[in-house]
Amino acid sequence: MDLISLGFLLFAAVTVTVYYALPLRLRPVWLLAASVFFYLRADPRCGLFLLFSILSCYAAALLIPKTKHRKVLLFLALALNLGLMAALKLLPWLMAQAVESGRLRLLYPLGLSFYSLQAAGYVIDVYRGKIEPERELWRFALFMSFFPIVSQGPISRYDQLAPELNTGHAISAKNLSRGAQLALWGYFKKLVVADRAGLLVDLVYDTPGQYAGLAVCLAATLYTLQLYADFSGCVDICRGLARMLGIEVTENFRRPLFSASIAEFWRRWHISLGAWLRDYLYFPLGGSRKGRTRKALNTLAVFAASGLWHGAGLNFLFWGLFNGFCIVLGGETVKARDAFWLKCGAKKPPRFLRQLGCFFLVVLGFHFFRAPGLSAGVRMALDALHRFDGSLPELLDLKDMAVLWLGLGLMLLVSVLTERMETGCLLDRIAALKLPLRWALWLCLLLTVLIFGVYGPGYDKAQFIYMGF
Amino acid sequence: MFLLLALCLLLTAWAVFDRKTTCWYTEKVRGFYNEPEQSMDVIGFGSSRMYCTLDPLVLHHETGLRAYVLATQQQPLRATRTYMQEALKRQSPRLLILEATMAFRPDSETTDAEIRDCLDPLPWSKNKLALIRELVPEGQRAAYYFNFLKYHQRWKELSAKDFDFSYLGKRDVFRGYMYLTPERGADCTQQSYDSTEAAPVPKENLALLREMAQFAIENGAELLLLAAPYETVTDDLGCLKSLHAFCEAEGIAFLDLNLDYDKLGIDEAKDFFDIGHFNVNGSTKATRYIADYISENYTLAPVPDAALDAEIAQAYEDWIMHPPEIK
Repeated sequence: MDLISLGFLLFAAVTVTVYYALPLRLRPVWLLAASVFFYLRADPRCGLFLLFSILSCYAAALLIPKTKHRKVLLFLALALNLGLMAALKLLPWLMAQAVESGRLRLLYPLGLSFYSLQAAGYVIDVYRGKIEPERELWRFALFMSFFPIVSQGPISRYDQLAPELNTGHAISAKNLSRGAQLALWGYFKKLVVADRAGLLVDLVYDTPGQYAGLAVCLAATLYTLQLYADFSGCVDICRGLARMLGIEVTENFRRPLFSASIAEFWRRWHISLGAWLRDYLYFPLGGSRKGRTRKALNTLAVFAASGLWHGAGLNFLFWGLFNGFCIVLGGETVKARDAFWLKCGAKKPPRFLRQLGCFFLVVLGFHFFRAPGLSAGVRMALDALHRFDGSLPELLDLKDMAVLWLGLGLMLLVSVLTERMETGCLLDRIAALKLPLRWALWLCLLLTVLIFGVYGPGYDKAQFIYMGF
Repeated sequence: MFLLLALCLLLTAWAVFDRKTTCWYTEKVRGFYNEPEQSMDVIGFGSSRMYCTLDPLVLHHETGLRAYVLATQQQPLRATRTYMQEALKRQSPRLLILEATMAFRPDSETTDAEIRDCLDPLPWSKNKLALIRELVPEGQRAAYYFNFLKYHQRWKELSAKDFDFSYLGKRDVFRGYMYLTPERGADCTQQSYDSTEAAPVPKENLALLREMAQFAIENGAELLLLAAPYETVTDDLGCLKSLHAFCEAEGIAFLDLNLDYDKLGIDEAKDFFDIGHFNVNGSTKATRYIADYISENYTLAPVPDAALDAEIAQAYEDWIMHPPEIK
């Protein structure tokens, strides 16, 4: 069930309505039922993978505190879950490299990349004694399958999410309105900005070699913005829906494109993934405790894993390692750079310039992420330089471009306002405005999404022209 | 309260963005619903070949019968059946004329645009909902029930006309007929089926024709099938031959203008708008021929309505006797 479908909106409306109609103690049960329904609508076969993950991790977590073979159980649970994720993601790509006849088509279950990490994190936390294992299977199943986050994340920790899920929440006008507003903002980012930018991005990246120079630069930049708007938009929709149910889901993006370094970028972009990799891969590998070389290698290993988690392909691996390399290089040269500025008697470059520099690196990295392959990415990057003549073909019609830039401008404005706020959130500030003004704001945003959103069957005036008139 | 306001805005946006003007179907089909009830003697159904062939102004002038043409381009036969059901909710005509060449085409070949052209102008009713279920595969129907899902993309082409809802109360001066001035000729000639092998007409469409004939009888009317000339009719001669045989077997009247071409007095160079459709010259000749046929084969005494008759007669004067130079 697509987040931007009418079916999903209807499902969400029914779920929220019935949730609050039920007694408090039945509300978590209803959430589980809704989550199962949501997941099975995607593809009933996918449900088996989720069920396997739930049962294996539930059982492992219950047994781990009781047995001396704790480590074996832990590795078994991790191998089964993470191994399955890796196999389904990497196997088709590996086979395609070996056999020219093309990729093996394997079913890739909805949300596997997210709930596998979520499950693994849960089992590890039980192993570490950080949390007690969940005794009731249905509650654990709800944690694993909670529909707003199962397909998009964020990757949640059991001790943070479970209490939210297991408590039936009383109806609150504030939660309903803030949640709906957050979801509406998410739909704006996804439908008006991301999907519109995608029209231009796909045009350039689906025909590598046809475009060069400014067109490639623009497409790479817009892809970064598209990815941010799409991912953060979908997360906002999910968080908004969860908020309507009274459930707080952790933030996953914190204005990452305002970062002044790649290290800072990864503290603001896909926060839950970064935190997971830090806690369950980087620290177990030794983190920064075993010397500079090991720290650098650990960083590269973590980002290589991150790259492959995002997709099976050399370009994804390259992207991951590129980010890791930037962080290592940044860390290794920070003292030297500070000393250089001191020696020159100059101030450190202003944050704005460092933000631009970081943005450039992020765009460069995402260019390879989006390219149809590593070699195609390299060729396109070289074409962008060698065939740069400053001209830009019309990739998108002027009206669509105008809406896109206005949409990006609004996102920038909101991000700047949110970044500058020390406490509270922008939604609360808007709620403090006079009623006619804040209603006008939300109604305008709603109309903007409904009219300018890229959704629905395509419309072409020419298809209706008949008989020459 | 906020939700109510949002709903009002959405409904307003839906009305604005709804496609209203292509080929004037909206005015012609909606105009039917604004005609006085129980005021029509003859109703024409079918596709563009119907609304370019039967001219109600000429028919009225020749026979005194009040007619209306309720047709849209490339209308699939199932939609024609629905149009017939809709029409007879408000009218009790004695003769239903159906331009039947769309029966040769399976509904599966119908495009999205053609489906929307026949659905969009219809007011909401059980018949319309049933037609959506018949024509549109499950999973795609949402954008037909709520066509804003498609037409919101018209934001780039919105004009003042989209904010003009006067069409809801208007009546069509041409009574559903498409008034077309000469554009170019066509290569149409009289046909003969003597050496033609019959080609099958899709069975589901023959069943629909049977159903419509029965429906007409149940509502006190008769069904007359019509075939208008078009340039590529040679491709369909086999089907036309089958249709003749079908009508003979079923006892349905069939007036095939392709056979009586010379009697119509058609001039290929002057009487066609394009390869498939008459212009006003051609439709005037065709309608006079149909009028003669009706007079010879049916006893239809028009129900008098002086005001309506005067109005139609004036339109005939304005558009047929003294045609202006516009489409």
